[in-house]
Amino acid sequence: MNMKKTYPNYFWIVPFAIYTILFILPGLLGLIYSFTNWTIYSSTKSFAGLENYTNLLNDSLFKTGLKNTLLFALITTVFKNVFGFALALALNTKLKTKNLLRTVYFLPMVLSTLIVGIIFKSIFMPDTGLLNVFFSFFSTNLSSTDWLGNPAYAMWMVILVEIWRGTGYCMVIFLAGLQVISKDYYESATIDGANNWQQFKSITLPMMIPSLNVNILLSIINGLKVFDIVIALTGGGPGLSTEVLSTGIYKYMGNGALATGGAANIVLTLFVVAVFAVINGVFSKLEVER
Amino acid sequence: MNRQKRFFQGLALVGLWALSLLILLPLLLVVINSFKSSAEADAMNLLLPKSFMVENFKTVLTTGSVFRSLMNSALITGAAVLLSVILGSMAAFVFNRRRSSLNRTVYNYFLLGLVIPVQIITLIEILKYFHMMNSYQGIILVYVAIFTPLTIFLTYGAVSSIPRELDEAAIVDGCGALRLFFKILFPLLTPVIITSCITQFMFIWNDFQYPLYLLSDTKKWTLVLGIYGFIGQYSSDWNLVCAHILMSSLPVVIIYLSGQKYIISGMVSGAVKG
Repeated sequence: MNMKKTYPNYFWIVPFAIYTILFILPGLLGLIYSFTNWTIYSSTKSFAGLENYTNLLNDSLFKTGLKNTLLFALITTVFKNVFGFALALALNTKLKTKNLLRTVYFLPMVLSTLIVGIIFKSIFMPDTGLLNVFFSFFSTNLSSTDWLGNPAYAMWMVILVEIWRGTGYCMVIFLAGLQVISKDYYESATIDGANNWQQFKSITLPMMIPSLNVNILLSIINGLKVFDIVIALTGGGPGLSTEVLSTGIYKYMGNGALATGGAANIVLTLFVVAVFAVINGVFSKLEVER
Repeated sequence: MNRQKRFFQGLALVGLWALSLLILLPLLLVVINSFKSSAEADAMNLLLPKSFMVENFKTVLTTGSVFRSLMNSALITGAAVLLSVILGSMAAFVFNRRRSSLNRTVYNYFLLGLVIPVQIITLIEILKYFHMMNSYQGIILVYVAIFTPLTIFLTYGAVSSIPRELDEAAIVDGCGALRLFFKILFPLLTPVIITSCITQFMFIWNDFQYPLYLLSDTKKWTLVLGIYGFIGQYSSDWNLVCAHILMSSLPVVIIYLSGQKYIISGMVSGAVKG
């Protein structure tokens, strides 16, 4: 069999070209342009060294954005995984209607993030929103809060909505992980007299490390890239209080500060790659130790 | 012991359904308010509407150009998913079957796309250069560039499970490379193809960021972007906003409910990429 003829390289040349031109090339150009003074108003680009990056360090939009992005990625990852794991454990039993419950808990992931944001924007409305109507049964103080309009709360509300949206996804991955654990382990552990907690600690938890790896990685990376939910809920406001890196990039671009936005995008990329490397490293070590 | 166990199971069931209200109530809120009058929907509460205003949907259909955006969403999503899946699986097939050093390098080069975020500002410059900003081709090809790595990654594993003898038999029988792939391999890859189709469909259909950046002409707007524009116009008419949301979410929800098995397995295998 002629390998070259049976498995010809022209099978990958078209996607290779599309991917190179529309994914890799923007990446490389973005990196190069982030060292220039490129703006929407300048027709030429000249070398500016690290100026864009040092400017970013003094720019409040970037500083707030970076801080909020890290906060968002970290907090949502923790809660989505804790809640998702708990739900997966609860729904991996012989409960009636467990399939229906799984369907319900995953449902938010099916909707557009923008739509989820709009729904919660209405729920968080200060006077008539569902949340404050609910709170009005308990305390007038609480129920008069403008949740998205107050810089002290707004970012936390965005985080809350993302946890609402993303917990079902973590649950599904955990469920898949739980289902491949062989029942034999639990049976022999029961025979050996291990109680539920011991079984959980010595069987379930170690066997779930691969799922945990996937979930933490995806939650953090998607958390770092967050955009839609912020635009839908607050648009970055009030003030700069809910700006994240991606909304910052959008605003730099809107202001014509292209190289600055590009530099911010490179910073985002560095964070994503670093997180990917660190977490994969930690988990591959964990799996070896297991 | 057994009775105690059953009691706790019952308790867990009640608890889990109570908890599911946290998911269901916000969604119910949209359904209920989409049938209300504008004044009633002002409060956005869970009270049933006094009379069911089916006109809301008609209003949205006529003023919100829902039909047009639906067509745009269908065209963009359909074309992007189709291209990514066909091109990606062809590439994965060759990468898997013929592991020359070139092929292995190109395969790894594609996998970079699974991790690295898109550099949006320079992407726009490149699209402008090719006169593809604000065009269907532009956004479709961008999605193809973003998602081909995922398709390649997913199908690469599935190709391994198909015996090589099948290829040899087909070649002996006089099949060319293209016929071998489309007549023999592609049908056998159906499960993973459906999985990657659905995962990508759900992302692209629901995506907001790329249409926002790449499509400025309202005539080319997708449903999600349409809602965004609609809100700017009718922010006080929550009933219409809800009706719009309901209509544009229905297709994905139906696909989700009917293709759940594939979606979940797609999510899982897609997630293994980490």
